[in-house]
Amino acid sequence: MAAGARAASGEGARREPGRVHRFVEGLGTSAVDGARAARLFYSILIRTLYYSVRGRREKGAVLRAMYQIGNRSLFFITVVMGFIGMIMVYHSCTQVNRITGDLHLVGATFLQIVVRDFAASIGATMIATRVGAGIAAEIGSMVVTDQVDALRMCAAEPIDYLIVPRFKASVVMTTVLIVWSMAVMTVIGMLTAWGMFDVNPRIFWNTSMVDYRDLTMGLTKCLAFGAAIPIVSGYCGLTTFGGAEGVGWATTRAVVWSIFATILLNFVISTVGFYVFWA
Amino acid sequence: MEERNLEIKVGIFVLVAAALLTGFIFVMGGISFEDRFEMYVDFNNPLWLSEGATVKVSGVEAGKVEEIAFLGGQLDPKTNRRVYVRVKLLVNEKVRGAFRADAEFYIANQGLLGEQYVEIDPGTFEAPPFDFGKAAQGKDPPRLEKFLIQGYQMINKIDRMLDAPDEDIDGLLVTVVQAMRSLDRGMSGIGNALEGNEQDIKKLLENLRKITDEALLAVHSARKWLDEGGKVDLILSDVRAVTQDLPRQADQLIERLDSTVAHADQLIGQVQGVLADTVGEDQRRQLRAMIANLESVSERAVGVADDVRTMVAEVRGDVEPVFDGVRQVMDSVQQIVRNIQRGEGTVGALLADEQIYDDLKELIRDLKHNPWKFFWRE
Repeated sequence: MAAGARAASGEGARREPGRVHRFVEGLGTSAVDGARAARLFYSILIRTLYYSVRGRREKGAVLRAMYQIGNRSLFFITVVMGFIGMIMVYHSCTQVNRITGDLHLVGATFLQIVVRDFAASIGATMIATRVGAGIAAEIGSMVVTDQVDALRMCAAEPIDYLIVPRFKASVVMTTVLIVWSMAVMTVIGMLTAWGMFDVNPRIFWNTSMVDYRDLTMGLTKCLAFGAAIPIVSGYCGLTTFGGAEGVGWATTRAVVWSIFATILLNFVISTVGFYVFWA
Repeated sequence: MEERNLEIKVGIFVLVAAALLTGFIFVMGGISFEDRFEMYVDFNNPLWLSEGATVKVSGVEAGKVEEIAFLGGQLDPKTNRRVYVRVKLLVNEKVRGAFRADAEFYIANQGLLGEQYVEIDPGTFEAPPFDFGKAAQGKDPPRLEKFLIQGYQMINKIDRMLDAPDEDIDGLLVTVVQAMRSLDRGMSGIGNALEGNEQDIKKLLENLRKITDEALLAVHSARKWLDEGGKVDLILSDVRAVTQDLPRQADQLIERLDSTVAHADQLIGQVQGVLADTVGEDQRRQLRAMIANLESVSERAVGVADDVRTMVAEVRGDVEPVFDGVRQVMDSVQQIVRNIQRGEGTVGALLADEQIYDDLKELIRDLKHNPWKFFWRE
């Protein structure tokens, strides 16, 4: 009895953690979780690159992924990028008309910004929303239904089996889709300028402000974004927990982090490119 | 079968993208299979020109800026010029032949806010070929900031000028208005005088022409008369001889005058001696006065002789140039009249060319209607 009372009084004497204590604890937990996540992401990245070179060759896996990522995204990307091109040219021409009224360089500057940056960054964002979400949902579902564990039990590496084909397909098809986006944006922008502002297509098609540096920057971004989206999405899928709700969250995280990755990579590549080519 | 369809669809898409990418690379990447040659252009300040910028010859794209090097004022021994920035251009071989020695190199803007490029005016066809062994001197682009500073300074000056006391500006304006009115009146008068009097003015000019013809004839006649038998030369030689003999004869004359005065003094002395013995006191006084007068006369004669000598010496130097001048004037007058008769020079053209009369009339009428042309040009 006495022992029970002491125990009760001892529990009662334990102090509740203060606000500062909880804040520091939360900070530490986040930091530890972040470090674990970064380590896991780094591990997935390295293993993806490794298995891309040394992994097994499953017949048709990459092709199916290419079809899913590329051909199935074609309509979505064409419509979205076409509208974005139209909006960009419309607003550019409107603003130029307010200032100088000289529209003959709108096409040249539009091509420059599309080739150097916008086709890749906006296109990758669109691809991330569609492809990234798909990859995360697919892998996340397999995780919550223990299919990934089953793969491991069969001595199949989930990264090699699930992420690498999508990684390869994404690197190729993101580039393909972004090049296609450049063409779509240019054509739609040209038609917009012609139809709404009476800018001759020959004048719009002015490549004097675009050179190999812009193309190099654009293509580098294509490859970087194409590589980042499946790895980030795959990571989100592989770290799914909690059933259907977890899959939903994994999908959301995949989209958010894929877009964040494209923007971050865009910043890094643009900065490096500026110092390499223009500084 | 389904797998094969998939492959075809993916393959077509990849091929289309590859074709597009290839097109982008060729069109935008500046890949050219044309032969190109290097040439160099020096600028003091190429502003925003960058490597890879377009080179246009007569407005047609013909190359790229390959390199921009800062030389910081190095002396180029080939051109003997200080070079600050040297731009290396890669230009299509096919335009090489168009370059001439008077080719000009600018840095131009694509539109108002566009990027800068090198514009080459290849020069006139008649000029000798361009020397590609030396760097050309380019013309620096206009610097907007300098233009703005100068404009700002000019506006300040105008502002200060306008801040001057109103009386000064009012006075200036009144003066200008008065001048304009006077000019207008003058032009009106001239215009009125000319209008309707064309025939009279024509006659006046005809008469003037006749007068000058007659004057020419008269000068010819005078010249002929003077030239006959060398009359002018004769007169001049006589004058010269006179001026040369005059001092010599004057000397002799003065010597004789001196000796005459000496004899006169001697004679007077003798007469005084005689008179002292024979005449009375009154007569003697009169004779003394007369002798004193004679002495003063002789002294004055000596002074006159000195003056004559001086004058002759001065005249001898002056007379000769006078006659030379007369001869030159006569020659000039004769030449002028001859020119006028031939219709040369302003007066000659005025007399000979009816178009000038019409032009003059048109000018005066124009100035009457537009008197402001005295102050500025259109």
